[in-house]
Amino acid sequence: MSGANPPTAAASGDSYYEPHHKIYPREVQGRFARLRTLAVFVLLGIYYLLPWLELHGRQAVLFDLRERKFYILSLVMWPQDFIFLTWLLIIAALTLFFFTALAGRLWCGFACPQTVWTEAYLWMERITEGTRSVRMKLDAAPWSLHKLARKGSKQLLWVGFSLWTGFTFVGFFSPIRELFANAATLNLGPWETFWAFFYGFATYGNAGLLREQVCKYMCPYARFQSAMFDKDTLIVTYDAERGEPRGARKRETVRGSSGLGDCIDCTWCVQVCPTGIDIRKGLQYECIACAACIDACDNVMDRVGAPRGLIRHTTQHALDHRTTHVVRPRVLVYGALLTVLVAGFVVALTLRTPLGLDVIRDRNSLFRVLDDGQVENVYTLKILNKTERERHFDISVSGAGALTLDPPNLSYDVGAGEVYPVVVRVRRAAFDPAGSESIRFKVTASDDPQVSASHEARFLTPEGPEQQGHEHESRH
Amino acid sequence: MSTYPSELTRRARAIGAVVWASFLAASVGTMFFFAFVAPDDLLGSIPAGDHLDRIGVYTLGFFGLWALSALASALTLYIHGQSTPRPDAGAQS
Repeated sequence: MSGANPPTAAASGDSYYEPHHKIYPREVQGRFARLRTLAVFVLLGIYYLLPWLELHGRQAVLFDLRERKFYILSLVMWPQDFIFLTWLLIIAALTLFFFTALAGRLWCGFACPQTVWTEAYLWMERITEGTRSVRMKLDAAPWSLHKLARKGSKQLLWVGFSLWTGFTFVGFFSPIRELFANAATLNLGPWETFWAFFYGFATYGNAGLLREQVCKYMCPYARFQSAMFDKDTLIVTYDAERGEPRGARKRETVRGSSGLGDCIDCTWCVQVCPTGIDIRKGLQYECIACAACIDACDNVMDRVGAPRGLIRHTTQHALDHRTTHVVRPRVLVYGALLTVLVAGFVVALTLRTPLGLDVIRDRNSLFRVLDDGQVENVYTLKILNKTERERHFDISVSGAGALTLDPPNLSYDVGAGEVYPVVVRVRRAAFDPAGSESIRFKVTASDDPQVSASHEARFLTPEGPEQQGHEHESRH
Repeated sequence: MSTYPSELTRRARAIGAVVWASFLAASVGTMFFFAFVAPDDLLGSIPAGDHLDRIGVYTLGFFGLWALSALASALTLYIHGQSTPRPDAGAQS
């Protein structure tokens, strides 16, 4: 079980892991760098500004944990609507699978919070500590006032940004304007303070310190995303056929005359890689498809006068000189599932009644036979008004013979977002019919008959006249 | 200073994997749990519950689930690591 040579495995302990060397990604310009900058601005913009947006006189997006109500623009979600949130998460996951199958690790390279925040922290590092080579020299140099100032200002920016990130995070779960007022007067509640610091610290650690190591050693998605890949998925690849044999050459060498391929072995692609891999060794799981190497190589190809695309987005099939199929079973299946889920979600959301009804039988007695021969069952109805205004509701009951309600004409005002409990007595002639019957309660909004909810319940009566004496007045 | 954040040892990576995987599981778990259980219902049954508000209950719930999932992850890693030779054991040494 423990292998043929356990001592070797144990003794060599750490040797299966390369020692980690700090990666200094070189800054790069190009199409994909611009695209990522755009993604950073859009996504972080949404994150930091969204909680401040107001709609209908309240925070537009707020997952109000205290009140247990989720506001997403015009939508108000209740704990009972939990299914919708789960549904949304499934849609999000499937969207991720769909785009991964089509275009590879788009998520990792451009949209993952880890990437986006790392990019922001790298930028802060760059403006305080300088470019790659300056940073490397700074790190190697002994401590000096200059180094302290550079490193200190970076930390100041990082910590400040982290705290603001943590504060914003709490602002998604607790009204942010209130929070801000409390924070400004140092009156933030203990839990809010804790979460702001905790989330800020997590951001600092993940985006500032750990960076690519989160993707390499911690992220489960990085490991299983290859399951969505096939030979038609877009991947970032080095065109070995065109590039090899690689080698440096004189500037004036005419392309193709030196017996060398197009790769001049300048290692720019390695220097810009945020995960520190060499794409020329083939596709590796560390590659987050950020395409920084494509930008870098394109710039170099422009300078040496060779066509762009020595490193490019392509598919395994294209590399093998075969046809790439964009439309294929995998994409169709993900696409179809996604369409069904999204359509179902929209339909279910439109059909959702802003009203909830729960019926609980009285636990103390099964039934009661009254002096006039009628049988009475008692229920507690809970009416939940999911709208954001007070509403008037009427209660009715149907099924299992001629039923009467006590009190008759049940109707109640239920406040905005309130649960209103009502005790209802239902009566009926005793043996018409006997046994357990199904009845149905219905609650309807007085101002809109379309808004109604119903709930089934059991109505119990004595089995026959001879049992009436035993069951009479059960435990009341 | 120049070595930060380098030299993530085997142990540090294992801790990272355990902490992060259990964090993700606990996030989903917290969402599910509190979709069905209102924090007010729990206040009575938690020691010193009257000193907590709802956010406090959510927080305790989340960290409780995180601790549990981390325990499960760590035990899995421990047991698996004990009984299974590394795939490349021998090949490298």
